[in-house]
Amino acid sequence: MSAGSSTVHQGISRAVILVALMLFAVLPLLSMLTAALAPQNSTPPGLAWPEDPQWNNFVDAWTAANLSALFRSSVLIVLGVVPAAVAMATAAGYGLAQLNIPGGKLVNALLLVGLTLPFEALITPLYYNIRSMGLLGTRWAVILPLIGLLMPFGVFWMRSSFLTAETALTEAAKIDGANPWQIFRQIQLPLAVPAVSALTILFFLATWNQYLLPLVLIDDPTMRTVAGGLGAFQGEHGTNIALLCAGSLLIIAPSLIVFLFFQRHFVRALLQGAVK
Amino acid sequence: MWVAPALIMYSVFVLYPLGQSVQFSFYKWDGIGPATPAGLDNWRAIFTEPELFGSVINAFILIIFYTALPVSLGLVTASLIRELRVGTFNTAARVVLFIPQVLPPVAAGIAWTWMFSTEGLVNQALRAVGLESLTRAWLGDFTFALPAVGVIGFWLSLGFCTVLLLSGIGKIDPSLYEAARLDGAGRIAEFFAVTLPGLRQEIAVCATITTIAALASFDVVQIATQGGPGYQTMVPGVEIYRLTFLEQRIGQASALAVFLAALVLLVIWPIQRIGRHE
Amino acid sequence: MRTSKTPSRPSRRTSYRIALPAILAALLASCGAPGAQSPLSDTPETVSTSIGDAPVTLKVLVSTPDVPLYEELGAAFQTKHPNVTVQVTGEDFNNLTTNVPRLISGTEVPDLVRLASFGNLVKDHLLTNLDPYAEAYGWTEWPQSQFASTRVADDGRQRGTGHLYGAGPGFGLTGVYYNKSLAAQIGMTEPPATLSAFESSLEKAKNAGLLPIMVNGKDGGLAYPLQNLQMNYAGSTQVVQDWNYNKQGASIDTSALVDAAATLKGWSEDGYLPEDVNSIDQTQAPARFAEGEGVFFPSGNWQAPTLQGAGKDEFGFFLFPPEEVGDPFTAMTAAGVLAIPAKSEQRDAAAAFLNFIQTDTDARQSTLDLLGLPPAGPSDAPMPDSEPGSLVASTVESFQALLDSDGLVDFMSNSTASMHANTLVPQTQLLVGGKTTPAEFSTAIQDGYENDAEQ
Repeated sequence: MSAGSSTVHQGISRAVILVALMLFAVLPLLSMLTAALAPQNSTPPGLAWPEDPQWNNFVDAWTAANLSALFRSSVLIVLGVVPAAVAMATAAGYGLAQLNIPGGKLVNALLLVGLTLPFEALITPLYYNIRSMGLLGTRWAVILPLIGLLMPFGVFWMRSSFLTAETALTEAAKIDGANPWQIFRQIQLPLAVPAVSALTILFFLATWNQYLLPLVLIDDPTMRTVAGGLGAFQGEHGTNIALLCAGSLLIIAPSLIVFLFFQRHFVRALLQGAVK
Repeated sequence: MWVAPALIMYSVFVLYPLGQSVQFSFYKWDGIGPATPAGLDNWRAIFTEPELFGSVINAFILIIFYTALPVSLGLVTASLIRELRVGTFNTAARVVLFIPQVLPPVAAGIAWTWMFSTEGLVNQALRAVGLESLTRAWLGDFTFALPAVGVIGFWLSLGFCTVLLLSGIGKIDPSLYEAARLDGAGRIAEFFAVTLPGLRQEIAVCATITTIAALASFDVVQIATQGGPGYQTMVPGVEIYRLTFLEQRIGQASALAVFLAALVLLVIWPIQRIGRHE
Repeated sequence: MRTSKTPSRPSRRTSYRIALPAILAALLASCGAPGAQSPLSDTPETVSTSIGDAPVTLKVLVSTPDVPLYEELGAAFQTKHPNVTVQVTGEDFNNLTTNVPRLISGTEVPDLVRLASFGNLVKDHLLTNLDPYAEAYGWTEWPQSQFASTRVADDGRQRGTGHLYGAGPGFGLTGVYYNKSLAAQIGMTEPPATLSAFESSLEKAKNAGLLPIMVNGKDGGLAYPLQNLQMNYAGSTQVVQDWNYNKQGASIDTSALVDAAATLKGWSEDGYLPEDVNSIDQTQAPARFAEGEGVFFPSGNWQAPTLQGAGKDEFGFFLFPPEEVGDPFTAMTAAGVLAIPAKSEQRDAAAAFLNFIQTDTDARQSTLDLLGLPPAGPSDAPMPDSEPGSLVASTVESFQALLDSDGLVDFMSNSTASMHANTLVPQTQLLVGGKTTPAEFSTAIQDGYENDAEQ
């Protein structure tokens, strides 16, 4: 690090390593893109820009996979899950961190059980319960359980944010006679905005990318999330590589766009949150 | 009041079904007719039915690809690069490395099914460097199907682990490295004396998340191989799905599900201890 | 994405101590044996052959490739009954077979559903007993062999006898397609008459640098030649038929199956199968065969319309050859079974639709044109037209020949609910991958069968 030449040298090797890793990360996507632009029903090579890019494949894939219906459905499910889940997790996180709620320890412990629980462990009874509630096949069948399943992570996330929040202002407000709601609204919530928005993005991705729940709980493929519908699409168009890749890219796009749009915010929040 | 909504949703849709899973695991039930008590039969079957036990073994093998390799490679990268400073290139790197982690795993499954197919990029690359003889349908090959599924998991985990470890290494006090160098430590000694202890927490987080992903994998396997060829890539997640809905062996599915949940806890526990502040 | 949080570290140990009783509490909350529903009645008390005038929506759930056919059949039915709307939904076949039990025990059940096997559906009273409709529509006067595979006995398990639970527009039939120009290259001018002639053609193809057999090993295509070989070696179809129909004590673990497995394994070792056989699925196999990869392609008549469209006169079809000249030909068949869920609210309309697709001339024509399935129905119903000399025509001829000679057998895949996905597919993959011996293979098939039968 001391000699200038070694710094330059290091800089280059750093860049080489990073570029190699970046290539590895995007290569499958690039391969899909070039395949998506190849003529339909052809056998495209793994990675080569087609001579005559068939951008129309994306339009065809949109129709073939019934993506209008799937996107609408995904959006409805996201709208059903994310705001409610974020609100509940925020409230519970605040309650557990800042208010001495009776039984708080127990609640903590209960949530801890769910933190590492694989979704598969619940899917069987969930199916029968949802059915006896008469919700099977409706979007509620995915929305309600998903909210429940997101709670452990969400509550711990918000709780740790509120735990580290500054207390001086809160103390002052308490002395002024503010009630917990006022403190929450006027002091704590504004401070927690970064954590809340990161959680919103995380919940969005978890919902949008969800595959198992819609697959099992919603029979009509057009009412599932796009990820759930993609599986059915793969079964039907397995040989039409171009169409399959185009459809997959369209389905990936929202996750990617949301991530790229919020990435600054997102990566930082996630890195902080993960090791906090 | 504050906690109630979260707790209710959680109890109804997580705790209660979890209890039911435990209960079902002691019954023989096809999901429709009446159930008959089965004692420990379902639990015994996890260890005696090769198909079930094999799926558990496969899940452990996947940990190598989902966890061990990305974490080690991430560590090597991190110690070579040291830190991601602010700058357009570094921000871009961070964002790009993160992409696999934010995509639907289903899409990753489809992308890699294409990559590994007979005409896919992997074989194309092998042909380009004259290794024609190594080309094969990777996901349909008995020897390579499970490692190929592993590569998908490796792809999902690597960027995330690298970014996390890079940001961790940036927080290590530079004076520790100075001190180590003054003591005459070489790069390797420095790695073990400073970097590794300094990254304990980050390593634990990476290992925890990726281990859960490995043990509970479903999406990728269901899309890429459905457990085949033979039972070569069968994992507990897919097995539970099939037992429940195809074979209608609800009791058996539940036993495997509870076993899987317990297994995850058991494996995560020591990892969490490592990451704990002392 | 899940991230582990650590703020509660110091209290984690105590947390678990508190959590345990809480889980126990949750357990207690859910005690009592699951699943004590009162059984549905599966036999309609009154049946009518009239649909009436009130608006009726008939929901039909089939596998995706069949959607165009059923949409056409539905449209034709609507023309005859303007008050009926036929709503066709498609689902990936594997997903469909996996999910049928829960689909039709749920709340929004379809009125007609495509089935592959009956599994526990009859035992659990989820399907409508069609006997009263068979009586009302006069199906009882038709040749009864066409209904054998969809009859289930009172124990809910044995098939081939008992009440009728399904009917369909037409019948599948397996055989072997061949690429005429590649066959000419190896000097094969007419379809092989015996198994040994077939095997020598395979060898010639290999020696000529051609791929002898294209087959979809990923999703069960290997099971067709396997079952044909088994029936050849057994010298009769009785064993496999009893086994398929779940007769008490039936076993397939016989020397015929071991020999069949050995032959199939030998074909793989001799390089007669594609190198990536276990990753080829049922959409890729015909596509690659149509592009000229493979001299032979063991599959079913449902591929005929597509292959005929891909290359007129380029492909031929023959039945899997017997051991000796003069031995009877055999093939697998299955009705494209539609069943009426017991929970359907439109049983009468659904039955009327079933009757329509089996008897209406245009409907029968559509079934053959679109899916390649020859219809059965009344003995005096004319077989729909197919272009003379075409691939479809030759599958129809084969079907009629076998109908007369009693050479049609159900698929081993349909014997139990999970036989196909959990046993036959993986085991045939292991077999051609050299990962299991023929004897182990044979035992594993029987084990999978008994495991399922126990449920």
